[in-house]
Amino acid sequence: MNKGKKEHKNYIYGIYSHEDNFLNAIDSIRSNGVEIDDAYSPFPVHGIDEKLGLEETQLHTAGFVLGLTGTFTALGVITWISFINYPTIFGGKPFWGLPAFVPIIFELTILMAAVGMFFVYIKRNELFPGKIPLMVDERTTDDKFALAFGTDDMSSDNVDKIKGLLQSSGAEEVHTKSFE
Amino acid sequence: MAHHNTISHDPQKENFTFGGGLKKMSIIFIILGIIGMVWAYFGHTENHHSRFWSNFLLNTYYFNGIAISAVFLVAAHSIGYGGWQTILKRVFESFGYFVFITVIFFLIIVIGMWLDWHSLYHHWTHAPETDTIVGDKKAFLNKNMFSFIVIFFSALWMFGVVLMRRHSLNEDNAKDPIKHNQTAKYKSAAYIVIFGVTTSIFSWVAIMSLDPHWYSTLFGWYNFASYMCAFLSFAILIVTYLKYKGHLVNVTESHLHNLSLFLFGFSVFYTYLWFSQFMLIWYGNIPEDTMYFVKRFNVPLFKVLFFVTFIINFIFPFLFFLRRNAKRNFWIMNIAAVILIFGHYLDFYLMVMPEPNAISEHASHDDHHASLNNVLSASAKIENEKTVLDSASNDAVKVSTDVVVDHKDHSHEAASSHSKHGNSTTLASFGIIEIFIFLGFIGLFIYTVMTVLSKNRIVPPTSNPFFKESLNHNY
Repeated sequence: MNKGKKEHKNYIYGIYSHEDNFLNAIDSIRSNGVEIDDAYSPFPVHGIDEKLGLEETQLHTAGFVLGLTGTFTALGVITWISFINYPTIFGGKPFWGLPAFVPIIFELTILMAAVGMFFVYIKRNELFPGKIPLMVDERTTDDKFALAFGTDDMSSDNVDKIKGLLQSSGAEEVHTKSFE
Repeated sequence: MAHHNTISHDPQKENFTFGGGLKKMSIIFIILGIIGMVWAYFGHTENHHSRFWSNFLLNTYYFNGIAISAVFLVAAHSIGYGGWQTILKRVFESFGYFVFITVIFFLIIVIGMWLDWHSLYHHWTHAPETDTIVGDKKAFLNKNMFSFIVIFFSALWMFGVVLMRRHSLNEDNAKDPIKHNQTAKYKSAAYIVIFGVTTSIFSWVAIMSLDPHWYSTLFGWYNFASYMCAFLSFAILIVTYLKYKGHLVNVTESHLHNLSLFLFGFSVFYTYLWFSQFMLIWYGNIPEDTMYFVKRFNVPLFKVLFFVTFIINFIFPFLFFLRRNAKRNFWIMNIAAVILIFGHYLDFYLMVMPEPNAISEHASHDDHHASLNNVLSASAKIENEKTVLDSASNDAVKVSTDVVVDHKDHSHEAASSHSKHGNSTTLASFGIIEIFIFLGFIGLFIYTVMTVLSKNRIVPPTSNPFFKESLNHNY
C-alpha cells in the first residue's frame, strides 16, 4: 500500500461469508506466491494487515515531521514578531521570553501535526470528496468479504489460475468486474 | 469449577517465592539506607538535624505516593472495565501495602513535630505573631490539624488498600465470579474518591506547607502526576523481573506497551503541570509567588537540578518513548524506568529540600523579607523606566532595549545580593547520604512489595471474567 495502489480496469474477485474463511483464504492464496490486490470487509478485521503483508504505516513519521514543522514555524514567527519586527515590553519580560512562547509553540505543533496527518491520511487512502471508490461488490458493505485481483496485466492462463485458487480457498462465489 | 479456557496455565508459576538476588539486593539497600540515615543524623546536626529529616520526609512522601497510586491504577481500570491489566493487578495491589510502612514514618514526623525533634514545619509551627500570612492560615495549618490529617488519611489509605486487595484475593474462592467482579467497581469507586481527595490535600499539608507563604493551586495534581510516573516505572521494573523469573508467562509486549503508554502520557501530563506552575508565576511576577523559584534559582545546586529534572522527566521520555518499538522492548523500558524513578525523585527533592535546610527559621525569615524588598524595589525601578519609555517616543525601540538591559541589571543585582545569602543559608546538598537514603527506601519498598506478593497467587484465577481478555491482549 505504501508504494501506491495501482487501479485496474478489470477485476476478478471471490466472495466469502465468514471472517475466519476470509482470513484463511488470504493465507492459502499468499502461500502460493500470489499477491492480493485488494481485500474488502464490512468491518475492520484484526490483524489483516500482517496477513496481507502490508508494510507498517508511515503516518506517525508524517505526524512527527509535521509536528516539528509546527514547532519551528511557531518559534520562528513569534521570534520574528516579538524580537525583530516589533519588540514590545510586556510586564518587564525580555523580548525573547521563551516560557511565554511555549504555549504558542505547543498549540501550533499540535495543530500542524493533527491537521497535516488528517490530510496525509485522506490523500493516502484516497478518501477525498469526488473520489469514486472501486467497489467490486456492494455486498461487502453489508455482510460479505471479498478478495480482488486486478487482471489488466495478466494472461488468461494466470486469470484461470487465480480463479482456481479462489475456489480452492473456499470462495463461495467468483465473479469478474469491469470498471469504465 | 470447570474452565473452558483453552490456554494452558502452569499452576507452578502462580506462586512466587521472594528470595535470591533480589532479596539480597533489597537487604543491602536497606542497610545502606540505615547507614545513610545514621550518618545524616549524627554527622549533620545543624538546624535540628535538617538533612536527616528533610531526606526522611522526601522519601516517605515519594514512596507513599507510589504505593497509593498503584492501587489507584487498578481501581481506575476496574471501574472502566479495563481488562488488559487483570493478570497484572495483584502485582499493583501489593504495591499498596507500603502504606503500612510509610504510616509509621509519618507518625514519627508527627511525634517529632510535637516534641520539637525537627524543624521541618517551623515556618508555621513557630511563626512570629507579626507573620500575618501564616496567621491567616492558622485555622488549617496547625499541629492538631496536621496530626489529624496524617493519621486520618493514612488510615483511609490502609483501609482502601486492604479493601481492594481482599476483594481481589477473595476471587480465588468466589462462587459467582461475575457477580464478585461486578462488586469490585463499588469498592474501586470508593478508593478513587479517597485517593483523589487525600492526595491533593496531603500534598498541601506535607509539602506545600514547608513554605506557608507560598501556594500553588495545581500542586496536588502536579504531585499526583509525578508519583504516578514513578509508580509506572516501578511497575515496569517489577513486572519485567517477575517475567524474567518465569512468572507472569502470559504478559507480553502488548501489556508492556500499555504500561509504557501510560508512562509516556503521564510524563507529558507531568510536564504540562510543571510548566504551567512555572510559567504563570514567571509571567505574573508577583513577589510572594516568585519567591518559590527565587529560592531554587539562587542556589547553584537547585538551579542545575531544576533543569536536569526537566530534561530527565520530559525531553528524555518524550523522545525516547515516541516510537512504538521502544515501548514494546523490555530492555529499553527498564533502562528508561530506572532513569525516570531517579528523575521524579529529583523533582520531589526540589520541592522539599530548600525550605527545611535554610540555616535557621529566623535567618530565613529575614532573608525572605530582604529578598522580597529587593524584588519589589527592582520592579519599582522598572515602573519608573516605563514612564521614561512613554515620554521618549522618538526612538522607542532603542529606549525599550535599554530598559530591558537595565531591568536585567537590577534583577541580577537583586539575585546576586540574595545568592550571597542563598549560598550560605542552605545546608542541602546532593551527596552520598541522599543516595544511600534513597536506595534504602527503594530496598524497603521492594522488600515489602515482594513479601506481600509472595503470600498469595500472583495471578487472579481464570474464572475472572476479564482473564481471557487480558491473556489475549494484543495490538
